[in-house]
Amino acid sequence: MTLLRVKDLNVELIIKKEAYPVLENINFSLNRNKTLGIVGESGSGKSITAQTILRMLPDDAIVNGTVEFNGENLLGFSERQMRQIRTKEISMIFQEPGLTLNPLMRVGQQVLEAARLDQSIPANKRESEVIKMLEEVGLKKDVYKKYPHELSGGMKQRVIIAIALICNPSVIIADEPTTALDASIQSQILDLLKSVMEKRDGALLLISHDLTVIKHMCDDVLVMYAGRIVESGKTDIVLSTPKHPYTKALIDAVPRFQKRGSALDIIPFSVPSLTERSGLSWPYLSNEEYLNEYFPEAGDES
Amino acid sequence: MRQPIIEVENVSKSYGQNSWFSRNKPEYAVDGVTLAVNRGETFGIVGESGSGKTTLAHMILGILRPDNGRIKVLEHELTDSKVNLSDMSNKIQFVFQDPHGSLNPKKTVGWSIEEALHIHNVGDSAKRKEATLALMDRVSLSESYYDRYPHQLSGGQRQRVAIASALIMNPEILVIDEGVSALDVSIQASILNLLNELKKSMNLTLVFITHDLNVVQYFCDRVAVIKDGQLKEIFNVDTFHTDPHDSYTTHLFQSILED
Amino acid sequence: MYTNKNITLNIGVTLVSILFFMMIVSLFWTPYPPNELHTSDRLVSPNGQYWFGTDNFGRDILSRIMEASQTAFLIGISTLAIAFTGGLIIGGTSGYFGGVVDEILMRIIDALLAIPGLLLAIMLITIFHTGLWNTVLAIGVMGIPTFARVIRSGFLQIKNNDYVTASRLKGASHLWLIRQHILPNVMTPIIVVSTLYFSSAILAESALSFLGLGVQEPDASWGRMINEARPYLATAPWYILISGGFIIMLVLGFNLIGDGLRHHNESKR
Repeated sequence: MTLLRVKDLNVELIIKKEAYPVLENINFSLNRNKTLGIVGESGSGKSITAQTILRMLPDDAIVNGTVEFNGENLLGFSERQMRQIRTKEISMIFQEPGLTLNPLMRVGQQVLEAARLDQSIPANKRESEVIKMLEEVGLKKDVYKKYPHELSGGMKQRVIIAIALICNPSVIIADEPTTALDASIQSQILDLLKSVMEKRDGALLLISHDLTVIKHMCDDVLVMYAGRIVESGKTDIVLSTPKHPYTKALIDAVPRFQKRGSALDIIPFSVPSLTERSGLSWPYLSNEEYLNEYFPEAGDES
Repeated sequence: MRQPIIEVENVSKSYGQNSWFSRNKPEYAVDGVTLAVNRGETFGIVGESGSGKTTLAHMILGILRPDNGRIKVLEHELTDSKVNLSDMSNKIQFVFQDPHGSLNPKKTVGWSIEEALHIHNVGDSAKRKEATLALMDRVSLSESYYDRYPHQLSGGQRQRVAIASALIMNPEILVIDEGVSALDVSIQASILNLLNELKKSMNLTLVFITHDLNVVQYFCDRVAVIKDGQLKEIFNVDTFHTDPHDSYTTHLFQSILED
Repeated sequence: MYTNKNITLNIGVTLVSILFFMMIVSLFWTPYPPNELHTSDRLVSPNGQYWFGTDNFGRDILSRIMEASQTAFLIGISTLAIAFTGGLIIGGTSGYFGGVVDEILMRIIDALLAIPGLLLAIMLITIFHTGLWNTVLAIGVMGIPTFARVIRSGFLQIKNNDYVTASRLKGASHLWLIRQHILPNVMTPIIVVSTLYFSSAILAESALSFLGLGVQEPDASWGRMINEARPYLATAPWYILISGGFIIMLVLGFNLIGDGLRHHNESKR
C-alpha cells in the first residue's frame, strides 16, 4: 500500500533574485513495509527531496507538484497541520547525532519531551513508554538518566531513533543516518532501523551517498544526479545491471579489494553547481539518444 | 629485505589527569604499540573513532611526544629530545582529514602550497612560483587557481591543495589522516588515484589512517588494526582472505556491509 | 538586517570622516588663531563673525573646537597603539603558549579589569602628573586588559586549526605561525574592538580633562572646554552644547562603525 506519493515535483530556489531548479520531475512512491533508497553525490538534490516532503525549505522556494500522504497533499497543508505530520506521521533522522540532541538535558527527558506530543499516550504512562522505547532500540534502562556526552556515537543515534519512533510514525526519513559512525556500528544501526520499521508496518526512506548502505538496506532505489532521478528500480537490478551511465560510473568509483593495483574509474562529469545547470547540455542529463552517443559502452552491458 | 623507514617500538601515550588533588588512573590512548613501516609501501592504520590511531600518527610526526618507547623516522630518533620538527619537516608530511580546516582562509592557494619554500628560504619568488605551478599541474589544479582563496574551492580541490602543499619539499613519507573520508565517491576515487600515481612517481611511502575498510582493502599493502590503543595485528592485504586473523579484525571486517 | 547594518556603518563612517576632515583642515587653517584673545568679544553668541561664538576670554570657539579635534584623534590613535601593543604582547603570549604563563598573565589582567578604568587612569596620572602624554599613557594602559582578552581568545581559537599544525610540521617558527596564520585570522574582532575602544578613549580623555587631570593649557581639548563652559551654562549655553556635541559626534561615529562592522561579520558567518 502506498503511504507517500511524490508526483511531478519541481522545486526552484532563489539565489540573488534568480530562480534555479534544484529538483526536476521527481516521481516516486513509498510503500508500507518497504525501504526506498535515494543515492547520489552532494548537490544531487537527495536531501532537498526530504526537506520538500517535510516542508522545511526556505520560504521563497518555489514548489510545484504534489506530495500525497495518505491521499492528502502535504503541500497544501497549513504550518500547524504540518507540525502534526512531522511529529506523528513522518519522522526525520539526521546525520550528526551530536547536533540533534540537547547537551544540557538528560536523554530520557528528551525522549519524554517527544512523547508529550502524542496525546494518545496517557501522562502517567509516558515514562514507562519511554523506557520501553529505549529498550526496543537496544539501550539499557540507565541511559534514561544520562546526558548525551556520556554516550558513544552509536548510542546517541539509537536515542535519536527512539525519539523518532516514540509517536509511532508510519514513515521515517533517514538522511545519512550512519555516515558519522564507525563501520562496525553502522550495520547495527541500519539493521535496527529496518527491524523497527518492519515491526510497525511502516516505510523507510533512506538517503545515502554510500552504495553499500543502499544495497544492504533498500528494496528499491532512486539514483539522483543534479536534481533529477536518472535511474530507479529494484535495488539489486539497478546495482547489478545499471542502465544509466551515471549509475554505472558511480558503482565503478567505489574502491574495492578486487580493484587493487588498478586505477579507480573516475566519474567523468561532476555534479554541476546550481547556477551552471540551466542552459547547459550536461551529458548525464541529455536524452537517451545522446546518452548512447556519449557513453556507447553503457548500453552493451545489460 | 626491505628497509624500515618508520620504526615504532613499544610506544605508549596516556592522557591521565594527575593533579595535586586527584590521581586518576592514566587512560592509555596508545598502549605499547610496536610496528615498522617499510620504504615504498602504503601502510594502513585502521580502528574505530577513539582507538588511538590519530594519536599514534601525531607521535610519528613528532607533534606529540610518547610517554614510553621509542620512535625512529628516517634515522632520526624522535624520542631524543634534541630533534626538532624542522629537521624532519622536509622528509615527512601530513595531510589532514578536514579539507576545510587544513587551509588558512586568508591565504591564496599559491601561498599555501609555497609556504614551506618561504619558511626554508628556498629559491626566489619566480622559482617558487614555477615549482608551485608545476606541482599544481601534477595534482590536476589549473593555473587559474593560484590566486584563489580556499572558500572559492570545492572539497576535492581543497584536498588537492593540501596534498600539493605537503609535497612541495619532496618528502619521503606522507601521512594521511582520513584524507578521503569526507569526500563524495567520485572525488574520493580521483584523490586515491592521484595518491597512487604520486606514490609511484615521487617514491613516496604512505601512511594511511582511516576507518573506511573498503578504502583500506583497495589502497593499502599492509594494515595495522588498532583497538583501545593496542595493536591487534598487522596483516598483508594481498593475502587477507586466506590468512588467519585476530578475532577483532575478523569482527571488524565482517561488519563491512556485504558487497 | 541587511540594510540596517549598512546604514549604521554608513552613518558612522560619515560622522568620523567629517570630523577627520575638519582635523586635517585645522592643521593648516583655522578661522582665528585658537589662542587669540578678543577681549572686547567675550561670550558672544554664534554669529556671522564667530560661527560658534566666543568663550569667556573672547577666543573663537570654532577655532578651538578644530584645534581640539587634533587632540581627540591624537589621543585616540596613540592610546590605541599602546592598548593594542600591550594587549598583543600579553594576550598573544598567553593564548599562544597557554599553560602556566596563561594562568599568571590572565590573573593579572583580571586584577586590572577589577579596577574601574577611569579610576586606574586617575591613579596613574596622580603618580606621573598631568600632561598630554601621561594622559595618553594612562588611557592606553586602561585599554590593555580588553585587548589582551580579545587577542588571547582569538589566538586560542586559531592556534589549534589544522593549517597551523600543518605549517608547524613544515618547520615554521613561532613568529611565522603568529604573523602568517594566527594574526590575519584574529584581525576582524580586533578591528571591531579597536573602533569601540577609540571612542571610549576619547570619552575618557574628555572626562579626565573635565576633571582637570587631562590635557593642560595651552593644548585644546573638548573635555576641558566643557569644564570651562560650565560656569556660563546659563549665560552662554552654546559653548557647552557645542563642545559636548562634538564629543558625542565622534564617539557616536566610532561606536556606529564598531557596531556596523560587528553586524557585518556576524551576518557573514
